[in-house]
Amino acid sequence: MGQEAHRAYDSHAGGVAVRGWGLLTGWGAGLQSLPTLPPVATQGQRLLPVATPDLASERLRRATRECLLGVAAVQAALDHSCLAPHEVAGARTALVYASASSYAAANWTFVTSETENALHFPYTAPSAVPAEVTIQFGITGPYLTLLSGANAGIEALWQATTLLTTAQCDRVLVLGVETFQECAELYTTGRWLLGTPLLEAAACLVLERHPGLAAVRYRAAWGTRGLASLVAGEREGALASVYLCTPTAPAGQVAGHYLQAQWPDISLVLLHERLGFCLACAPLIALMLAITAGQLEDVLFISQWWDAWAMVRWPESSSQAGH
Amino acid sequence: MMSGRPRQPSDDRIAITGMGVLSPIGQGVEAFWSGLINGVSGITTIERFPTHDLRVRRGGEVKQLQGTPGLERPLPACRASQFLIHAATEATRMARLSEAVAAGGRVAVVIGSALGGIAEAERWHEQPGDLHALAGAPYDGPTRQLARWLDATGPVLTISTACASGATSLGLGADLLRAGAATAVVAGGMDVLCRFVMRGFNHLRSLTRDEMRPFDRRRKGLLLGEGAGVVVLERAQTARQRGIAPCGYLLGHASCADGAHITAPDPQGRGLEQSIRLALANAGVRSAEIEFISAHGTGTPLNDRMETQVFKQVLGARAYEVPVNSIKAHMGHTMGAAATLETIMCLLAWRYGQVPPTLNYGEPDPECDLPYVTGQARTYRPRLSLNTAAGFGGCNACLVLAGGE
Repeated sequence: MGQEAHRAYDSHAGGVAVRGWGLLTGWGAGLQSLPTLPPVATQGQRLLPVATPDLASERLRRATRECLLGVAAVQAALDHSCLAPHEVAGARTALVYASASSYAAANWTFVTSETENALHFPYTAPSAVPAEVTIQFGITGPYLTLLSGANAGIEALWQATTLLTTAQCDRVLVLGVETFQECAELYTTGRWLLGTPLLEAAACLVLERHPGLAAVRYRAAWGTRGLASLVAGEREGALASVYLCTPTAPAGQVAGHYLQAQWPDISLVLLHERLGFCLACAPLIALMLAITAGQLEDVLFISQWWDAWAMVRWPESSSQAGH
Repeated sequence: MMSGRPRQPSDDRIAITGMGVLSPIGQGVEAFWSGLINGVSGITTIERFPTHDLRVRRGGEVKQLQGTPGLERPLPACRASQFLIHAATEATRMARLSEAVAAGGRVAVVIGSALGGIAEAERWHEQPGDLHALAGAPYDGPTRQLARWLDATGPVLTISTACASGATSLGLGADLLRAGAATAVVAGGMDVLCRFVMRGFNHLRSLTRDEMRPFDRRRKGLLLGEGAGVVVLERAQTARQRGIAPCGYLLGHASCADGAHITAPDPQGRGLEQSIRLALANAGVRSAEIEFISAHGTGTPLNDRMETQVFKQVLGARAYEVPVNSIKAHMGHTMGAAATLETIMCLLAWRYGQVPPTLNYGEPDPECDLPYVTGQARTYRPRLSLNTAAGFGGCNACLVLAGGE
């Protein structure tokens, strides 16, 4: 363990860069598997399940599907970032986990199970997915789980940039996992909760400090005027596009019309129209898409969950290392 | 070399301007403090749901919710939300937060929980027609209820670092203030007892039929409890401008991973040690300045041994001079609420010049040989405190706290 230190925080001015990513969804593996144009061709499917990764690991033989997806997404992100697993081991790598489904599958199984299963209970905790990742890769740095519904992805990006710009770590894995299949009947019953098709996904971004880039800006607001309040603060500076991640199609339409009225000239992407609803994973996938598009100006990512709105403004996405 | 934020200029500190408590030993800050100082035990037989099939049927159950001044509207049916609203009402009144809101302040809500709305999922399972229960079942259900109750206008976040959640939430609240995303943050932790969690711990055989005995040689495990702790965070400068005398300050925080085991702490305590060192760096405080430690102290053989070892590693020889306590034997392990309740205890210890005892301690353990506060409350006024927490999945957190001026 390192010696005690009290280095003054010198405001590592600047932003963060995306070094790489890993993506598994109901559409397949990698960004290239995603459909390119709306409308999405789901032919009435309510759920697009993601295949369970075969990790051939004795240690993970009891782990749930969510955990396996988390580990597989991180491994894919490390591969894409040209990082060996040992390079993320230790205290200088952080893990920030985001999920809206929040382990509902494991919890519901435990609530409704007739048989008692001591092995299953630890996997009902939302900390189980990031825990399996930290154990698998030996990560002992900053660590937290955000469960604020679909906004958790945006919040995770903000928290990752905070950890990097305050030098609490050198690298952050931002991981999102959303699974629905095991408790699909709950989502069917509460169909007013979420839109369809639900897209299962595991997405991981590798972020690193990048002094040459402008700072990432985070804002969030609650209430009926939440979106207006966010937009009002973002009128300055050039914007390339806005990626909107809402939990239902009607909510997306209303918010989309509002945004287009505010910024008639920008490109607006309603992520659900292209992919389906993947909740906290949506902003992470949107960032991957924006970087791949190579836009020269800032990009806004906005998400909604009930009365809550969250936003990050990501500068110069074309300059990202992952491009 | 570790790094973090600097020693902060005095007006860049994060002030704690309000506190609210709902616990098995008392509802309200003063009742809670009285229970702690007087060694009251809130451990009773659980009455609210069936426990006939469980090995251990006791815990820190809140038997009856009393009226909280300022809380006049009907509460939501969700028990976890009720807990939060009671505690937040007390905290926001203490902080006179309505004045800040009227002046255009942006209030954020950050709540940590190990279980979220899972008790509502149980209720839905028993009464499938109640769609309100289903809507409250997600982890963030109680947080949203609280945000609605408070008419929050800023960010609304739900976090989980298992049983360290009540510390991590305060840290995230401080980050929101520093990012300028809010002018005040209502932050804290909450969890309620339900069959889900009692069955789970029953399977793991982590619960003791004996009393909880943190750091005692005879310790055999923990008992669960329920409750909520909420604080109001503001920049010290903002509080001063509003004429509010802070209860204390959150100087630094960190949450780190063990990367070792799903349910057990790393025997070497790497994640906890990293959390403490990072939180100290974040606060700009040297370990030599720490005057008191509120330990996680669950009374499990492994946790208490590991924590003791980590405190020695971080504090060196001074570890034998710094008082340590655990208040979990008073009310059981209240999971997501625990670390926020312990934060409040640290600030009250400064205010009243007394440190509550670690209940049920009688036989020293050679592997747990620090100056634990036992027997009865000790007259002592710790200005700088560490509050440590740990949970399933190798979650660890540490807060560096300072008493109010």
